[in-house]
Amino acid sequence: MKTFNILLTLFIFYGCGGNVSSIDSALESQTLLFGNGSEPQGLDPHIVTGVPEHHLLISLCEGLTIANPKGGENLPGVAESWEISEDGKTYTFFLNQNAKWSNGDLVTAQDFVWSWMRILTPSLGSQYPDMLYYLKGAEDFHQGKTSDFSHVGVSAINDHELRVELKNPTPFFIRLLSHYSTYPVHKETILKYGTIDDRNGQWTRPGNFVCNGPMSLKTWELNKQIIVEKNPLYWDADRVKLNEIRYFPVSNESTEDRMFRAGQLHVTNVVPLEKCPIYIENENPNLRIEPYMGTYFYRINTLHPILKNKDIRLALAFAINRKQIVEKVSKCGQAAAYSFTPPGSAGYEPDTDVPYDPELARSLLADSGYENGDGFPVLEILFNTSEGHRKIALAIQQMWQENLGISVELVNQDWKVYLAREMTGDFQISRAGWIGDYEDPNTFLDTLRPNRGNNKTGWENEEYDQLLELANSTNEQSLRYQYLMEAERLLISEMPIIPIYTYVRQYQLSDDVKGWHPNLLDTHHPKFIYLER
Amino acid sequence: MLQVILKRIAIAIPVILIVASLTFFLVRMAPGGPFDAEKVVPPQVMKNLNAVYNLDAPLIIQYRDYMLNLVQGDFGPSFRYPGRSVTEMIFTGLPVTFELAFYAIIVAMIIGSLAGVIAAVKRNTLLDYVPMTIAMIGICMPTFLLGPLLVLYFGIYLEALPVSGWDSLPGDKILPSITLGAAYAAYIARLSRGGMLETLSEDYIRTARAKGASEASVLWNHVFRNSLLPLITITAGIIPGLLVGSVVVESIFSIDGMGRLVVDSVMVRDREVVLSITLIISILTLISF
Repeated sequence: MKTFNILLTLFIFYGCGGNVSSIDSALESQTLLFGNGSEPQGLDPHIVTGVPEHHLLISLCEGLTIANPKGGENLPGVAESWEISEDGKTYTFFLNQNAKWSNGDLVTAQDFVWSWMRILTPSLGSQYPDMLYYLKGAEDFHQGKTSDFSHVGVSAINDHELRVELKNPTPFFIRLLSHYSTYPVHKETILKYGTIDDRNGQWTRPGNFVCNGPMSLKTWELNKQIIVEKNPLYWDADRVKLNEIRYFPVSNESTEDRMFRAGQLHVTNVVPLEKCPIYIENENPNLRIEPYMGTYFYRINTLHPILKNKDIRLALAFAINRKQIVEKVSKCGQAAAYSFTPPGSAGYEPDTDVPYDPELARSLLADSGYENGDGFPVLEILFNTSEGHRKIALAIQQMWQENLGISVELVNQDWKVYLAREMTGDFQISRAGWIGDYEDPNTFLDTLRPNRGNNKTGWENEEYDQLLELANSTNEQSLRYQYLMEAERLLISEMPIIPIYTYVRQYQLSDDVKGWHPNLLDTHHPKFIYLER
Repeated sequence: MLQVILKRIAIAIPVILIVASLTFFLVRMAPGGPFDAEKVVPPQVMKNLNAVYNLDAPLIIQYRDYMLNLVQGDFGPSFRYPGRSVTEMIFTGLPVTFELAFYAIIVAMIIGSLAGVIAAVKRNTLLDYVPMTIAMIGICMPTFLLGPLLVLYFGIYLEALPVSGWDSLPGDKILPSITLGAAYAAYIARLSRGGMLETLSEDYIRTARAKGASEASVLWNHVFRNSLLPLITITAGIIPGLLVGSVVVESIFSIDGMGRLVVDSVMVRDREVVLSITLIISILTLISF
């Protein structure tokens, strides 16, 4: 029995190693405990893509501007101010002379030129170079049509002035500059651990990492946590109240929910699907449901012999009761969508409508030769395996059966298989979602232009393309929105995609967290956040 | 003895090579590439990425390179996490999984043999039926149910133990170890009860009692020790099972072990990681049996 006792004691005491950390002790030390979804791919702003990476990079690095936590126009970041030429094509940025890298070096205009050259270098294999395609000559450089970077529209006038020349007046350009793909990187550090196009350089490891954000990297334990601490050299360090942020990669939603309930997290990444309606009913004070810049829609393969008929696509769209889907199926505060671009994106309010009109839907189907759905082939709805997608697909299956008399099959696939099938056009109707990269309708409407890889519907419309081209060439915002609105109307009248609902962000937030404001892009800059009870 | 070991190694090597080859082709044949994402990357970028990771080479060349690297102990780079080698990722996760499995075995042994002993000694009484019924439930109850139940009670209701993590908060190793060990504890309880009963009916036990040895001494010195033998034999056999079982437990408790790594890697098609972990589990299984 003695051996057992020793083992038991050892076991319990060994388990009791480590530091105490919960929201109570975090309050005093100003440590934010952040549920960050999955393990980030990395910390190189020119390589990574994804939301967990975004959360980390806005803490660690800073671009020319930062997203406004309350929504609206971007705030100054490294650029203290900027001037825009009359024609809207030339921007001059005046950099903050106190902006420093975390190793004490000054952040200069040359740093931005080198960094933007890096992300546009083809051999780096960055997945976000198109964020800078708005610059003159950037696309040609990235596609290897020229290897001379001096043809690209970015240059350093001196250490603190940066000139950027654009192809077209791009009114949302300032908003783009808070995206991590446009962030500067520290040239000397990158070259110390590799070359300009080295994806696998060790410069992002703790101890090596140098960047210019409000926080700096302290530790990074794979699949466990990343700790960042206040960077005393940040130009606006006086405003930063948090001493530390701990990012936990908790991919299991239920685990994250339990961690929050046990006081191990201040903020969660999501709310488990099945918990959301319960929390709404119980009026959980920590539940946050906020508008988000994303649309859940069904993508239609317009090259399919049946679905190339516009009237059939419209019939399918008019036979879906969106209101019922958000109220009875998704049940977590989503709003029915009647346009592709979510309303309210940078003041853009689309006026399109997708009515729920079974009568009209039936007559459209009858006009196409399928009276009461007779003779209509069995179509497939493709979706990636998820309980939420399945429920919505089931509801739509039933609505189409009831309203149009047609049957569809539900096909769920593993995420990567689903992506591969969508990409190769091996689908008829598929579930899809799109989250905006920046707050502007262009981030949605641009994807459905003919030559865009994200289109995937096979729908090509010259008029639509021209309208977007016109919108891009004007500097006048109201005129631009008119063109975009017209494009949106055209899109909805052709229905290559069927909007279902506008996403909301659902998460839990502790009452201790202050300075946290809801915004469409769900960007919460750490310099405005603090803990108080 | 040396001959036996050499023979085992001679059998193991071709098995490992076959597993490596099969896994290589299976993983490559699964639809979807490591760089496919909802936001499609331009074709030029995809071309560059494939070139960086040698994915544009013919499959047979990729296979040759992979096997050559493998022989030299190099598992290659991770596609998902640029800048990390698979070897590094595995050696971060492996010790955690081993540690979890180790504690789970201890839990299983302590609870299992204790329950088994009590049940055997108090045969056909309430003290036999209750632990054995619990053991039966334990064998039937999946870890993905037991884990959250334990968390709800000890973590959220009693607020006594952390609900997730490993080596971050005091006591955070207790619930995962119990969750993983419980099913095996039940298994061991049934086995040790059987072993005890068998030993109790042996002649030498009667002799010991006749010689006037106290009941405690008979049970501890003669019965228990002798009934331990089958337990030790099965422990080696449950190790691979524990490693595989840790996949679920690591996910429930958000533990940075190898189980979670393999699940995440399959989801994102981080092929080299999947390949390497499959190999390691095969090697461990070969060693254990």
